[in-house]
Amino acid sequence: MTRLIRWPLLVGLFLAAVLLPTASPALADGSGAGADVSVAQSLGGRELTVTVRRITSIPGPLQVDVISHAGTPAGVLRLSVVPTGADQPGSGRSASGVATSTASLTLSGTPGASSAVLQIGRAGPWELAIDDGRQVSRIPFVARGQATSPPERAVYGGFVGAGVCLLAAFVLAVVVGRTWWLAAVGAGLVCGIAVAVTGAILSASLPLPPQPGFQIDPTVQNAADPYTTSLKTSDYSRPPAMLLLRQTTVNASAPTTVGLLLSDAATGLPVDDLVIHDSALMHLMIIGPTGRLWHLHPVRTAPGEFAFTLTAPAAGHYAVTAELARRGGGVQMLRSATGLDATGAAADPADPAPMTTNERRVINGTTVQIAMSDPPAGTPATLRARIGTTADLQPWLGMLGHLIVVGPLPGDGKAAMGTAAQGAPVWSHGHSMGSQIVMSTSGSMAGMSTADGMAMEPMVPMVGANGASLPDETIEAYGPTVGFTYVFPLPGTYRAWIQVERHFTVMTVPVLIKVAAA
Amino acid sequence: MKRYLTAAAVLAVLIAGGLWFAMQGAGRPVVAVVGSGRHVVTLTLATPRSGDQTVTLQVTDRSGAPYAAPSLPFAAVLPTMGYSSPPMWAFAERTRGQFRVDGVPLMAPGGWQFYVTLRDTSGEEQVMVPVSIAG
Repeated sequence: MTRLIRWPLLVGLFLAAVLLPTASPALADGSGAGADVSVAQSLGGRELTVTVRRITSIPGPLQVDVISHAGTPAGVLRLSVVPTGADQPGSGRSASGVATSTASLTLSGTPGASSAVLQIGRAGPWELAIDDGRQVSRIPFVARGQATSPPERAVYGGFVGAGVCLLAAFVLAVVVGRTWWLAAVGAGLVCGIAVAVTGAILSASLPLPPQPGFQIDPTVQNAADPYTTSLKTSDYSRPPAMLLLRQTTVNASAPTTVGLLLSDAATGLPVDDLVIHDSALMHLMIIGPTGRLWHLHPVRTAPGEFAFTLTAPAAGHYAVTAELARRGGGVQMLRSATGLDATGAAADPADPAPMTTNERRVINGTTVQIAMSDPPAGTPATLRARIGTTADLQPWLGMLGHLIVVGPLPGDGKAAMGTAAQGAPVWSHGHSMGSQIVMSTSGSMAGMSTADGMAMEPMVPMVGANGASLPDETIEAYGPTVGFTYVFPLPGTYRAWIQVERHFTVMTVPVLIKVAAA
Repeated sequence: MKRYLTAAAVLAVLIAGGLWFAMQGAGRPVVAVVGSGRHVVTLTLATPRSGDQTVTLQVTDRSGAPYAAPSLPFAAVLPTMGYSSPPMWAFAERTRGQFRVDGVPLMAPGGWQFYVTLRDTSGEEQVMVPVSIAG
């Protein structure tokens, strides 16, 4: 090597050796990952939304917000977090199963959010226990560490290795002066850069590891770093569950706590791997004899065991259906084969008659307008409801509106609704994310009745402040129109219920829909 | 000649290192600790491979006192396949609180769940230990 090129080369090598290792990895072992998790809970007589805020550091604080709705009685909730799941021995941590942090949260009786802060000490599976003094709800959640993927580690390691080789080359060139040593170190430099570049290219295309909690059973280790799991398959789904009621009769007009057992359809074992779906572990729909709909969220009291409290207002049959999602699989709808029967004397309050598909009515001081062209079976039809006059709807369970459809019903679709719903071929639950204004090719609005006089408003996108979490119930900025597009599979008479939240009150609007043959 | 030998030695070291790195974690015993409100179970699966395997359990209460029973019910479940082993028993070993069950039928790789049923004066409880079987 001539003197002419040696010194510029050495200077370049020196600068590169100093600069390259500064591209150090963003080690984030102490950081949490994920988004806010909201879970609706029908705890005793309260309908609550429990939000576990995004975990920003582990160990660190865990903020829990509890949103109460109108009519929620005041009281105190005792909150605690319990580490669960498997750990490795020798970690220095105490075994799971015992509460590590507790806090109290006071519900003032005024609708809105209340907060409490607990502490979590490790990544991994946890349970948030909420005790109202009569019942304890146990909500499972996973605290995730922020792991570095193997390709990312290859990038960091490759560049660090290249930097070390550069430094070594500089020292060798100055001190030793042997060209072949320099060549060997140079080869290491090239290897390091090749590894880093390959890792950078692969990092975007390699599949993610199975997600603890959603696809595989979470442990402390795989929650901290999902790349540690050796389990890789293309199908993580599990068998369906069975919905079994611990009792099938209740006394009318008396609050009754009903137990639910979820049983694995393949093994019969209790199902304790529900994942949060549409902001709840379980959505329970109950339709009573007068046509009233309950949309409850039973609390998990033990592995596979859930409970809800129902005050049946009338004697008769109550059809029961649950929606849930198991780990590794999709959402499933479980219809109880038995339902509930309420016996005894009851006040039997008359529920309001369902609205027709083109009707305006004032419900509890709120003007509700329904618009829908009577649809034929098998054709998409849009049902629109305008709730109030201003954009003040709140997302409930992550959605602006919920539509529950049951039918075809015998007769005029009004009598003995619980029994009719028990045997109805169709049970559906759809959502609205806005007003669903449909523009025809000529630019006019289509897909709705032209005689309803319903004003149109632009859709407000549901985008969260940090991009990862959708807005919660405290945001009153949506609507007032919600739209649902649905294909009625069979002709006949259907009962539908539209549910929206406004002023921290969940409104349920029953609608009768007649579907003609295709 | 000396240079070639040196290069060959470096190459051999690199290959050996790569093999050692690739073999990390393969076939090593799986040990998992799971606690409940009343007990702590340490499960060891010496060979985390498909086939009939032996599982050992160390069971204590939360204060560390060994679980005293001649045997305890044990089951292996592969939920993704909808499979459950027949009811099995883990029998006490000479060491207090240590139990062993042979012939646990792990017929396929996957995310297995081992269920251990424990009883004390407060009643019965079941502890589930998840273990991944890779091959």
